[in-house]
Amino acid sequence: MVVVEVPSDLWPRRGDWRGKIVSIHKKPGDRVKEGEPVAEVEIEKAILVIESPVAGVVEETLASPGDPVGPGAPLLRVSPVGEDQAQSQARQAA
Amino acid sequence: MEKIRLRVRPGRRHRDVAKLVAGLGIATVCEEALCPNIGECWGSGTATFMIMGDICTRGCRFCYVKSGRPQPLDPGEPMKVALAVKRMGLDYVTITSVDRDDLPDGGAGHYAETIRAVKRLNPGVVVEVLIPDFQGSRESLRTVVEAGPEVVAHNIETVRRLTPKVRDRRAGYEQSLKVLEAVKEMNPRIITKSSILLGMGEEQWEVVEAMKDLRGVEVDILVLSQYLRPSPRHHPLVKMYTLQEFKMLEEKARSLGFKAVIAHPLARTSYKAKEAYMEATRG
Repeated sequence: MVVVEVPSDLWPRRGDWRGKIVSIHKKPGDRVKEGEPVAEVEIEKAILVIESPVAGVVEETLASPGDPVGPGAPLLRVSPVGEDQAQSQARQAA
Repeated sequence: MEKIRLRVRPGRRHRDVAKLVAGLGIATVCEEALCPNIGECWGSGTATFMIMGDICTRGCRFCYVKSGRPQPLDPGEPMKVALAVKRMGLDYVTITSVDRDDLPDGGAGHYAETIRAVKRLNPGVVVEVLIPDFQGSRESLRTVVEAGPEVVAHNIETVRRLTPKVRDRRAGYEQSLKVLEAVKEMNPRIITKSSILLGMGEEQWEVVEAMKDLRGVEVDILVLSQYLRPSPRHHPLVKMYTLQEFKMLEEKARSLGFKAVIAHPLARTSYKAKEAYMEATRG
């Protein structure tokens, strides 16, 4: 299981920035590709488009639009599987 | 106003840079200023080093770098930066710093030692420094110039009228122009460079005036970029410039005689620095 987070290593030694979730693009049962945008977080400077580090199936969403977040905040729990397997699991879940 | 969207997924090279600079204990402006280009730059194995600590003695109202009482200088830092350049395999290095008004020479000697250490350990490397104003001290400036950087950048940051509102009270529009002018006087072969952040409330004619003022002191490279307010306590964002507006200002800047112009919402002083230097030095 992989937890997709707001990256804490983007500005590694500056952990004092905060934002709020604009949107979560996935729901439980959805498949996700590696590198696919899964959430958007608005900080003062920009909107951070968060990508999934793995391919898999979303097991659980851990945050909602409007939630205040900072570096390292959990967004989704993803069960990592190969692309083909993810498609078949997503079909079964649907 | 529509905010800029950044795709973020730090990869292996990003983490390698993070590990290297943290391991050596060198600050980077990429982190301290929440630079929006960090993913692109660190992902391609480069970074802008920030020497003399991560606490600035000044408090400009557009800047996210921490302000306060800085740490003592680390005498080993010049060699650490030189080592980082070597380990990263850089042939073009950008070095900036916090302001150190607490030091008698403003940190000029430390800059000079860093430039020399980098060059000693990395023969052939091109060094660009983005320096403070040293409170206008020509002596400090000469110390940096004599260390032999190929490029000296110093930012006016904004137009004349907004300078007192946006920059620390110890900074000054005229003082910054004099710094840039003095660098050219001391060594005409040095490429000079300055940046203007757009979107803090300036009028277009004021931007053109600032460009003309920079050309008036023979600045070679101009960087135009979009101000992005780092936190609600900073200077308000007044306008987001369109890509067409950036293009138009770039053309105007080129017509005024800058040898290279980097104009883009996400441009920052050290962004695409090597490319700008290559363009500025092309016969």
